[in-house]
Amino acid sequence: MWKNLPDIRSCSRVTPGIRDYVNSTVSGKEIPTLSYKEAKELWLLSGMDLLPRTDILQREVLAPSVFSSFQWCRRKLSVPELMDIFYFEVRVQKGILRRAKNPSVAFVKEPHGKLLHRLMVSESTQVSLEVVQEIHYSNQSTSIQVC
Amino acid sequence: MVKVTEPTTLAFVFSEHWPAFVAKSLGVMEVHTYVHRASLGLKESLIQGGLGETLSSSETMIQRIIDSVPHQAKCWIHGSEKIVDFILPLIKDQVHLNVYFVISDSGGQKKLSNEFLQSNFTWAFLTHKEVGGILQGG
Repeated sequence: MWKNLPDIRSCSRVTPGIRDYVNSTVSGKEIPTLSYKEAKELWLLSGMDLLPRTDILQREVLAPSVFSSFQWCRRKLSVPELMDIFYFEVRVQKGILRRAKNPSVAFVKEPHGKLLHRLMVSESTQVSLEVVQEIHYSNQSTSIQVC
Repeated sequence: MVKVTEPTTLAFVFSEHWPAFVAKSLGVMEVHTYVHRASLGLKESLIQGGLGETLSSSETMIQRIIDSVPHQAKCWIHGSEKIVDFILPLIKDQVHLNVYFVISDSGGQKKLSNEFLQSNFTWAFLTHKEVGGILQGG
């Protein structure tokens, strides 16, 4: 039984968008900038509120690009971007990308690390309180001995 | 007389395709990570990424779980229903474990295909958006 279900389900105050994960130093097919509506009609990831899980590897994104004369390009999400979206630790991400020519992207099928984080935080609350109580008792014990 | 004891938390994290990077930040003192179906290249990469010390084989993980009997340990299984089907028979006799499953529901169907899991555990549906993410489903 989950101990703190209301806490688990409370909405995060962090509300990132797709733009927060898209890198402008990845090149792609040059296209002029599109409106939100046009991006949505073209089924580009940029025109969505949330990224789809099923075909995230195939879908294209409208991204800013410093290599495009239009400042915008159309491309698929890069592996580092996917790793960012799926909450990979930067050090591990660099380790994988440095060694693997074609790193596995199987992680896109699995639950996100942030979900595990939220659940572990919720379930560890009680343990933390117990620790505090132990320390409090310990201090009391010391003061009695000093007296 | 107050007996001061060191509180011990043991957490076993079974994570499919990539390790649980988040556990240590939560104050968990010891994390053993078994990466299911990891290729040799991925394992080498994870070692390069500083996770070598936490990596274990499935046999070692199960043995560690068995050895942890005196403690109240937590076991997190994080992945698809397939990995849960694989691991659950290995640990279901370990009554000292508090077992938690985190299973992907990319389609938002809110239903598991495994009836044993569906009927014997309490489930909560949590979306990625609720935890500050940008992916559909939960």
